[in-house]
Amino acid sequence: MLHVVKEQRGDILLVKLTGSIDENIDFGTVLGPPSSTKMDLLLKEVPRINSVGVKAWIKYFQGVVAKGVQLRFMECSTALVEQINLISNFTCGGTVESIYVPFCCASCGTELLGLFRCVDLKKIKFQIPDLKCAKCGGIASFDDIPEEYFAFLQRE
Amino acid sequence: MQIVLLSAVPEDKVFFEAAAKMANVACVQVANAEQAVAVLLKDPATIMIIESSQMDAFKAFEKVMSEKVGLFSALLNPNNLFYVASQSFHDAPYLAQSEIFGHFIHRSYTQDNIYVMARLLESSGAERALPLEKFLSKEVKTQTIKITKSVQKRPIVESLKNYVLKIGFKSRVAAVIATATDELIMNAVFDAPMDELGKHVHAQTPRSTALELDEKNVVELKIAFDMKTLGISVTDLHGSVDKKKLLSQHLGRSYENKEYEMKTVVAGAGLGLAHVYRNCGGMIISCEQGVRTEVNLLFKKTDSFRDFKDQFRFLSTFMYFT
Ligand SMILES: [Zn+2]
Repeated sequence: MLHVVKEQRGDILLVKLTGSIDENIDFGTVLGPPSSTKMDLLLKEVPRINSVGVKAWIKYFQGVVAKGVQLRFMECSTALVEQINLISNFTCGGTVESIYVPFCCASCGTELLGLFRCVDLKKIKFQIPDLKCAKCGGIASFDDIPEEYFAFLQRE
Repeated sequence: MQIVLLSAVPEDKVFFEAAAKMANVACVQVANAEQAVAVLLKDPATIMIIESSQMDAFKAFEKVMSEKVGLFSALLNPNNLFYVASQSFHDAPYLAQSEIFGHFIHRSYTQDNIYVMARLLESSGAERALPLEKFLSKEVKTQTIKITKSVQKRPIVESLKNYVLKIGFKSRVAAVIATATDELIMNAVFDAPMDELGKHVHAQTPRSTALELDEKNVVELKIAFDMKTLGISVTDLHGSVDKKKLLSQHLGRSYENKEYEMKTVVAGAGLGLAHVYRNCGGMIISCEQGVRTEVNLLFKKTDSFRDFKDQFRFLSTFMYFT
């Protein structure tokens, strides 16, 4: 089940989504009509979204944007980054602020995630520096193909 | 039965000859489309493997097939036609659009994939494509689940994800496998059922509807693992795949270079399947019209997500009209 936490911060409605998004999602019910002109979505804890969930997502957020709301997507999970890359209208005119970038340790195989602001990723031209593995101290490298994982930033 | 190889790429000769040997079928290399067609005209059971990285060369082959055999001739069986290319399937759109498409083999194969290639060749030669477990090694362990209610999908997909993590797949890969299975089950439950007039029964049914799946609507999920590769198979008893539509509108469509815009008003699982194909190693769609459709996926267990993306990719379609 998708769990939603909403918090009003000044003129921004902060929405945190937790859980997979599928055919059971009814954004209209769980999020309701937008109560602010700015909406920030925290998406770190969305591990999966299926194609029916994608349709519901686009339908709801297109409606929100049509009402003049500014959307910002923050801390996007790897599953959501894949969708943003795959479907050109997934962000419905909103801005992707930050995404999680996957790493894998060459020594022990541990998977790590690093949070990057999109503006910084562009600055470093997607040359992702290695991380130190939290488990064994080895070197963890970016674990995807830059042209594919950052495709949405390159087509902007 | 024999295999005709029309490719000047040296590694193709090595790879396909090895696969042919394993499948116990003779393999002859030919220099041009005319020679390939001459063999087919003598023996209609001939399996053809055609280098197709260049559109012009592919179109030339298609033209010879059209002129000498006829695109809709009983002699021409797309189940026996394999196209090899260096680029991704969606970067060779002429293949997806072709009337004589059968199988796409990406030149990402290694020695390790000779076994799977041999099974594909055997499937072409057989009356029906081989079942999922035959694409895995002898040590394969298989589990079969009958889905009789649509609401079973979610817990099944979640337990599959946990199982996949337990057997050592990376967490991102596990999420990919779970989503792929989710899409295939949704497709089998909501998109496969057709009425007598060939209309989709659930075109307007909300996908969250709790459906009882009795008799012809039962969906079977098979999970197979041989320590190296995980196989997933989803079978429905409708056999309603529209191969041309599936290939040209979804699987063969490019979303990297051209924009793939999601239309929220259109029902159907095309995008779901496009996402599935993009994320698996091999996809085998076997459809006996009006009887059953089986979609098999192969996922290699790798040390990283990057390696997972680099695995041998292929797309096979077997269509049977009875
Ligand atoms: Zn480590």
